[in-house]
Amino acid sequence: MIDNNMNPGKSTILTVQRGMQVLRAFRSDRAPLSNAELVRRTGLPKSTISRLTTTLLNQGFLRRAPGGREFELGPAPASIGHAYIAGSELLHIANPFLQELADELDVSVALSIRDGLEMLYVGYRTSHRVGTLRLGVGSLLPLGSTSIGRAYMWGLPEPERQTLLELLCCNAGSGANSLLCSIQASFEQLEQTGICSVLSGFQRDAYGIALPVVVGRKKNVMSMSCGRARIQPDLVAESSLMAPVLLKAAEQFQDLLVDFDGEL
Amino acid sequence: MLKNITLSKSSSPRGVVVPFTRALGLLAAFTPDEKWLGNGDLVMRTNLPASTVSRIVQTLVKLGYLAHDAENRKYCLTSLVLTLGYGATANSEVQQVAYAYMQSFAERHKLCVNLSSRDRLDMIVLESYQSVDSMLAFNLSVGVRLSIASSPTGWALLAALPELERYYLLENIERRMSRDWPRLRRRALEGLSQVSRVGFCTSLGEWGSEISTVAAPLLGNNHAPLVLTCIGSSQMMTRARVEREIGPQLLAMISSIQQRVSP
Repeated sequence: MIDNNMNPGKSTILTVQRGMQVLRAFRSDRAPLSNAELVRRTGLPKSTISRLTTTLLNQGFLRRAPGGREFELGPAPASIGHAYIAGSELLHIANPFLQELADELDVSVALSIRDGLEMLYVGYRTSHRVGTLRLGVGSLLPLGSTSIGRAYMWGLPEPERQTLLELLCCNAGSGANSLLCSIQASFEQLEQTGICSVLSGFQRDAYGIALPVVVGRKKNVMSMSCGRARIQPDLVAESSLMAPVLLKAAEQFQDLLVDFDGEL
Repeated sequence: MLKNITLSKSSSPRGVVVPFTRALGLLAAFTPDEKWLGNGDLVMRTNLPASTVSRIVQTLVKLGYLAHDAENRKYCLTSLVLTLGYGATANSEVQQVAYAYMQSFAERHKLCVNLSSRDRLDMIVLESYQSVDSMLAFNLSVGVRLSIASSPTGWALLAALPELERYYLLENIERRMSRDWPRLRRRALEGLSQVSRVGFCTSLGEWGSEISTVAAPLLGNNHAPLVLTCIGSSQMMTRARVEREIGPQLLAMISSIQQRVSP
């Protein structure tokens, strides 16, 4: 690659972006993946994937899974993630608050931002009595089908929300209509109650209740959610129980971070 | 703790994607102790030419993984780095289970307890819990790296590895630290044999230090070899207490964790 000027060429950006796509393809589960599976998940050519996995192995981001031809994540991603978390003023302020809320409601509580058409958990705290949900910081959840994604969109200014909805519909193909219907239902719930609740948005027998929060001087929209796995939960009862607590918590959270001016 | 990641052109192995290698190296150059790094810091930490650093840094800013403070000409990691595999590695079941045990162990014995895993020739701290009563002034926080050759944490890991892998690592260490190795080698082998004798290895106030350490491996089918390490002041961690109380209880904690983690 020959571009010696200070500005990165398009090809450098594309190369790095593709490499990151491979890491992201591992999602938040620990299952080892083969080159073929990575080709399927990223849509990149096999030869590209093979060079990228070689690079990731070489840098300690991946390692070979025992016995097979598959790869699993190495320790380097955790190290970088910890470096971010340790330096994040937002999380220093937010995490104790989330923990208190999780303990009070006996649920897990997450703080998320949007990344593309997904929601990324940047903060996550769970009540000491919850052991069932295994998602944590760094988890990526779909924007369209989860309560956190829908609450986030509800928190956005109208034009931005419309753009995202159009993108979601484009991606959903033939499922666009039913997706849009259920998103609209969540928007109506948000309008009426300030929160939205979605059952099995992501995990079976789990539900999520979420609401938007607008954070700091830069007015960043984020989503605050809580979840619990429960066999046949009575969603209406749970939502009406949690709604007042969450609405109050969101308000306190925004007050707590009103002067926050840092990076997310 | 400084990390030296050598990524000079000549040392790039075959088949790797060079700009991507450099992007990963630059992200890894950020550590918990220093949030903001400038181009000069990054050049020092990565041994890359300044022009390369500047080009790759701008790529990472464009892609959203780094934020730029124009006023101070420095960069920091953004939350997007959490999408690069953090979710899977940081929330693994064994780590979650271990952390709960580490907390109560650390409080009971007034110590600091760390969980570490290996990255090349370093041990990286994945989880750390320090009792407020531990009276330790240092900060061995998550993300810190220790040399595998010169710490009980490293010896405990080496002891737990299959023989071939252990020899391979020892050879690499020897090549890397030829000058200090003869002295360190003897000490490391002592640590290894202590693990095979009693299950854990210790370093009690050695090298003029006021800190004592006990470490033991945590093995399981579903995860890479890990090490649990207890660190405390040498005054509190006397030899008698370590051998009769802390060491055996560390092993008991490890077997409880192994039983709790799904097979």
